[in-house]
Amino acid sequence: MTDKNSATVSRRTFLLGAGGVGVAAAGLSLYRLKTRQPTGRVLPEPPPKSQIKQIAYGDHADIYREQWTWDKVVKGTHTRANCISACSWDVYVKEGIVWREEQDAVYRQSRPDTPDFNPRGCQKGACYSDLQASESRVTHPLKRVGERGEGKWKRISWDQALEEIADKMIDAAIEQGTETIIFDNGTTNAGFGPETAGEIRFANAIEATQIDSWAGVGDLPMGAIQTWGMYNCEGTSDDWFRSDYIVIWVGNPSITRIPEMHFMHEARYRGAKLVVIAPDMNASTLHADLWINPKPETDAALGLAAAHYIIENNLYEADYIREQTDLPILVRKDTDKFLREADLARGGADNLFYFWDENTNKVAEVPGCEGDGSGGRSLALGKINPALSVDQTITLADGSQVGVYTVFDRLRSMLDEQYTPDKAAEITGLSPKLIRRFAEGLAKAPTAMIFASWGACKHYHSDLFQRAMILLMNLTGNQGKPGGGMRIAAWWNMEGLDNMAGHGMSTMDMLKLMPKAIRGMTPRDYEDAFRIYGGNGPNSPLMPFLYVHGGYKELWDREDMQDDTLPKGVADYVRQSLDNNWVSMHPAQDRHPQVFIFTGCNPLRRWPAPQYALKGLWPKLDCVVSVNFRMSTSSLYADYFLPIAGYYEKHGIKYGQTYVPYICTSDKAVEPLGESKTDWEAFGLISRAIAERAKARGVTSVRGFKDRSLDLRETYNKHTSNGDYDPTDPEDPVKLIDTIFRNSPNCGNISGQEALEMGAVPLTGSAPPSLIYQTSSDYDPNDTHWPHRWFVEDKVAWPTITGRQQFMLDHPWYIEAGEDLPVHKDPPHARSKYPLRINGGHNRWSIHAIWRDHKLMLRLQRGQPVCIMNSADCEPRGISNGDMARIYNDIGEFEVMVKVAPATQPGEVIIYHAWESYQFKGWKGQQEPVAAPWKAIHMAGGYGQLHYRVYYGAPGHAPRGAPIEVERV
Amino acid sequence: MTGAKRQMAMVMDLNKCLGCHTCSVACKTQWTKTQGREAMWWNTVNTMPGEGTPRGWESMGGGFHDAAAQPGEMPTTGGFGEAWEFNYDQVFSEGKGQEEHLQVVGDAPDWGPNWDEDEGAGDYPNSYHFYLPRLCNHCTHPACVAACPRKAIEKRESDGIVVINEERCNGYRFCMEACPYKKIYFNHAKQVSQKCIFCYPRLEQGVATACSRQCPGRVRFLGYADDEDGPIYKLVTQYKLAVPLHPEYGTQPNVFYVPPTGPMRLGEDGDVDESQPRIPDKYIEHLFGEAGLQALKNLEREKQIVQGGGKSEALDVLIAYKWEDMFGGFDRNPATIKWV
Repeated sequence: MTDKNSATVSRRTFLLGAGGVGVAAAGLSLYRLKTRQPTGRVLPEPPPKSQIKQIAYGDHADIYREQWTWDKVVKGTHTRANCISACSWDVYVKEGIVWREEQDAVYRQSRPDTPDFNPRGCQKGACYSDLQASESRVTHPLKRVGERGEGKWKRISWDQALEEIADKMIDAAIEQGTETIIFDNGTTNAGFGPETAGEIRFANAIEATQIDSWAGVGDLPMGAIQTWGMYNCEGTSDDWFRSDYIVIWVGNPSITRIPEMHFMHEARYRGAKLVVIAPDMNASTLHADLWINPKPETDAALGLAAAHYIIENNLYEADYIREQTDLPILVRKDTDKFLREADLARGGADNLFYFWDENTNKVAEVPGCEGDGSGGRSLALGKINPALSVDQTITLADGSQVGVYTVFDRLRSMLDEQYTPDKAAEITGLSPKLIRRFAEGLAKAPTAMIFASWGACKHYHSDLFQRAMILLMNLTGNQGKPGGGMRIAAWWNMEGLDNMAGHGMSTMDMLKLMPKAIRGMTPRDYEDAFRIYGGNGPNSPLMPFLYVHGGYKELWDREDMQDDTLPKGVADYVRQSLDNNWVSMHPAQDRHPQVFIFTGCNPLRRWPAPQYALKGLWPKLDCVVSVNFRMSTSSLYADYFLPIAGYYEKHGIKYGQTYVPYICTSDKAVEPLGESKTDWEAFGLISRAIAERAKARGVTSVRGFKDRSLDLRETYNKHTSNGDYDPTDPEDPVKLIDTIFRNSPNCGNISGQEALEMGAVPLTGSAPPSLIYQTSSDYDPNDTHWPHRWFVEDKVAWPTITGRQQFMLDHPWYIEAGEDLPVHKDPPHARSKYPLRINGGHNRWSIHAIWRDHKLMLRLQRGQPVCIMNSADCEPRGISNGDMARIYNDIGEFEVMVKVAPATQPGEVIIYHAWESYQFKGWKGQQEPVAAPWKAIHMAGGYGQLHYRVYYGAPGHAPRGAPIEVERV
Repeated sequence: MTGAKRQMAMVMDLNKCLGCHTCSVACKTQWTKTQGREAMWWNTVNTMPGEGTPRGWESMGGGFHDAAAQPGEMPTTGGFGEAWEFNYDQVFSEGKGQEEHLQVVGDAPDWGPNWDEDEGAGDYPNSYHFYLPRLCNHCTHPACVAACPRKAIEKRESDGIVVINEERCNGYRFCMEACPYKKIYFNHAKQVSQKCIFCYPRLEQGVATACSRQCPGRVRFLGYADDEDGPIYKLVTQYKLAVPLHPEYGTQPNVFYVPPTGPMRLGEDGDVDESQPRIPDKYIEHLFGEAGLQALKNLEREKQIVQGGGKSEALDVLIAYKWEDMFGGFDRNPATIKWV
């Protein structure tokens, strides 16, 4: 980060203006700062077209030669599959239809000593051409004519559908305000281009409530947020190749990171050890060196025992933790809270903390903490030499004296008492020898990383797992190093994404930010801005939304859903959080959702125990609209279905994950099937219909966001930026893509048309952070990429209250929970009377529900949902491989075929992700018995990094470990 | 048997295979989407140990023993796995609601080309399994060629690829019985036998096979077996890391495998037990013969070299720093081809 401090505001557009729905797009930047790397046109020339070799035998073999021909090749990708990989494909078109696709393998090596990324792709991408024309594709607008979920539809015209939907939305706006129109794109399932921009503009224009599902799908790493004040922590996947000790912990990249996994296997051939921590011997374990098999949900205990071993044996990197962590910060022995300026001086700050400086033998202020007087910008220690271990007495402001020690002292004594390998062995079921072997290997490796992915977010105590993992990466000095550190995921940003929403930031807002911008924005400054402006729209995090509005209160208030280590029940925490305005709720609690419109997602398949939503939420809805390219469980319960073009039938930009340093685009290979329309056009038409119907009905003002007056007649003008765009023009998406690329200097200053022709557009530099993108490292095209370099190399302060990676959280809720330090805790379902636990994860065969019901994929499975069990659990229940079984508890049940496999840990019932409910008898899907109680203290706020803003800091969906019994049917 | 001047060959590194079946799907969309081929998977991936596809193929006979052709069973479509159809319309739009769920039309399925995925063998926590992709081995002594009374199967002189002449084939299916790997399918629509063609139309244009070029795990190496600069020669002949599957079938396959290793076993005390490998030697020997065990020793030797800070050309080949180097010169990008 050579010139961060000289960065200047170069453009004033800001996405989060009116209606926070704009933030739906992944990777939206706050505002433009100069890109840090040179961004000249360094893009490669496309290879020249070459002539075929003439092979003309005129023999029997020509039949296959004739099969392998095509008319044209177009670049494509699967923009809204919500696949975390981004792969560029060549789409081969023959006689006007997509014949097949093959990877566009043009990625270059980052360094001569790391393998290249080619070819990327997976079996699902390799048959999207088939899915796009499959039986589940819907090609005409449909209106429900039977009961919801009955499957009785009438084909109607787009005009009729739009007019009826617009009228329902206007009715809701008149009756209760537009916040009762709920827009959901689910798993933040968004592209970087026109395929998502339309819905953002629509929802912004009418100020609809947007469901913030980042945590709601169980993808928000709360342990990272608590420790770092951010959660992006991944680099390019070739950086994994540089690791010497790769620990796959909870994740299963052999099936969820198919294009990237080769780097881990190849790292073994340069001497790295591959270690997998998982209860079952999953696909990622097959080629590992070491498999560690704890009991499910005891991962934190394993991590803490390894931490104990590393500290006990003096294997920790003292200099690293002195500088980069809160471990040397002073703690009052009487309260076990940080020593603050407020303790030492009347009127002192409560966000200024202290070290014990070994050079002066006095307390010293912690540079870079929130209250350090200079904005908490730099953590550089200067002449301070913080003691890791302290036993001193301090005189407080009232003259009393109090003993102080450090977080490190507290942590060490806690580990000594509770987490020796022997004690952790009792919790985890592992041998203490195996724990020590792991700790020693991790500590002694030159570089070590933990690939945790999103998997570790889907457990009730996921944050405790993550805090223990990050602690290990700190003790060993790996966080911020190449091939090192905790890896979950991260996005690239493109500055031009601001143009997706097309709303400007107000001059007043800009003026407020100007002083910070002139000094150079630090991650802390960005987060402060995101907090202020991320609240400018009606966003509701999913779990609290379902609690308040979705019919789940009776479920989650049950005694057996409460965490008995907490002094209060979930209801109390929800009330306190909403009263304190720590978490926002739209619509307000005294109104009810009236219209639900969803796209790119499948809530009734994904939400926990969806029968509660069908009973508690659906009856409140006057109108349910599904906007999709294929039928889905949720669509079957909709009133209208608007058919959307397939991925190869429209233009788009795939969201950019950092695994590969390219942005992938999708050109239009063929026309949309039937009457299906692009997302861009469909949402434009909805906005237009609302404006026209409002005019026709003489509706002048309705209640919008926070009951402010809103003129729905202006909906289409807002949507199109006052006519800048015309969504009915087939070339309009290209125009938007052009604007996005031309305003994204980190993509090489190219045109939209060039980007579409290239398919994979190499990054040439970095873009400033956004609501979701902040890896805090600059991208160098001639190196692998890894996160957190600004902190470790440039000594920028972490965006936490202490300015450091923070392992102690003295927020009152964390103290009363006994989680002020990282600990292991059993989840509430540990007390359940049901003997077995559902575990699982994302699967090999689908991206969420897409491809789950696809014929070609089903033929390579068992043609139906399966669960996997160990014979030790099957035999007593009389279950054999291939039998059907009922999986149940007192919340719900489903029937499924059993596979018996010795790789599964006894006690576990593994059922992988995302079968459509209609693939089960009676449409009772795999989520029926999954109550997924969530961790109430994740609604905490008012403390540095512990706060909610859109896509940050909300309680998550924790489906893992649902307690059940199984019986043969 | 039928001499070829040169031989195309493939090496698959089973220690990189993800079991993702991108190879199978790449082949499916390339060659077997049309009528009569619905149930064909010229390329398959199975979890081993397992019954695979066709079910129980390892005990179905065929091939040669001491140069004598062995009797073999005829694989059936049911054994390979039927191309199931599903009741989509019934579920989505026939108004039956929750009474109908999505399922296979007709008889409930009891086998498929990947039915025993991820099952494996052994007991927790020392179970073992791995993925084995298979295609026609384009054998040096192909049993199918020998078995065909119509002389409808040729081993191409220029590259050793074994191709069925569908104009001559009469659908007798002796080849299906004779092939010990059971990699020949029957097209009931055209009444001819069909199988992997090693993507000869692609190779003729300098493009790697679909299964190789599309493999995201970067498992497959390709090229002429005698190309001393190519990966096949280095992995098979020079460093002896790759060996054929079931050499005792007597057909001399030209598809070779780097045998798999698993994570260390866990002993009675819960710590690792290095006294024996997780995948039993006996099982490796069952699949790859004595040479399989030797290949694993050779692999271990190379790994020791790099762990000691040395350089291993063999492992650098397996890493494939440059992806295109995996294809022995067949590295043309097909999208650059313009048909005239």
